[in-house]
Amino acid sequence: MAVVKWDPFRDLVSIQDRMNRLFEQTLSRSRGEEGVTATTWTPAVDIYETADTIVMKAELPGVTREDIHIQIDGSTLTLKGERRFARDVQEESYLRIERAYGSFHRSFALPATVQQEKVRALLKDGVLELTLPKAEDSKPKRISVDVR
Amino acid sequence: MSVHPWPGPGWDPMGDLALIKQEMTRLFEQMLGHGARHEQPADGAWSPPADVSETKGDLRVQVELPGIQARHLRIDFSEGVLTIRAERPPDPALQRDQVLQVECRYGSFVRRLTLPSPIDPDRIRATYRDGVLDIRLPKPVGSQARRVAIDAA
Repeated sequence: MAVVKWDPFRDLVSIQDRMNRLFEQTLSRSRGEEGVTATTWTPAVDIYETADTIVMKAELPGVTREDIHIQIDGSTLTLKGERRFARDVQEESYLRIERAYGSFHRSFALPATVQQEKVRALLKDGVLELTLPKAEDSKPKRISVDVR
Repeated sequence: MSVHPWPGPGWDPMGDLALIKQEMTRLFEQMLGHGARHEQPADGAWSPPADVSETKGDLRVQVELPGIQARHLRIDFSEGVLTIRAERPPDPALQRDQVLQVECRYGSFVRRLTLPSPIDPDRIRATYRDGVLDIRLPKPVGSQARRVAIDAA
């Protein structure tokens, strides 16, 4: 067991973030079919960048490839789709449902425009990883300054 | 803030509140982590969301654990309590690259669930697919509830 320094502010920020997502999810939900509650939920997303690319990872456990839609418009990326409530057996009864089902929809302002035709998407173990190469004209350029 | 239309006659505000309460309880238990009850997670570990369902023959537990390698998953069953542990090492890119946003959870995950009925521990089966750990726990054969006859004195 690693010893981790306790940082109460990290916990508070985390509480705030999760509360926001919780209220967004709960207040925008509607009743689905067959008594199963369909919600609108918000997947967790990490974004980081290098000089050439922007990488985005979204947690989408239990969402199939066909139900994920990615749209890039300039430097705006929209991720949307649906997690379906798959009930295998008719006589299955649920004792506890904590996972969110229904549609998700998130848009992001990317820090640069990307080369749309070179975007790669990989879905593995419920994590969608998007590799977005930056457009040539939006890569950082070094401008040499002449010293006289 | 967007304005949502009236969700219609099926809208159940009390159900929504119950869901908020349940989720808040889980959130605070996770954050404060004092171990009075055995469903409490260990200190500092994330508590992943789980669904529990039941058929005549078995119980089924589905836990959301995205991005975990199978060797970092562990399931234990003891005295009616199912314990799921997982480890997700931090993404090395988050140390190396310019980070713009981090919302995903890394580190230790622990979830303890008290099962509502007896199961046969020798026949537990688990699969990990699309970031969801799916555990099937068959009930013991012949464990149907029996009515106990009371002898009149």
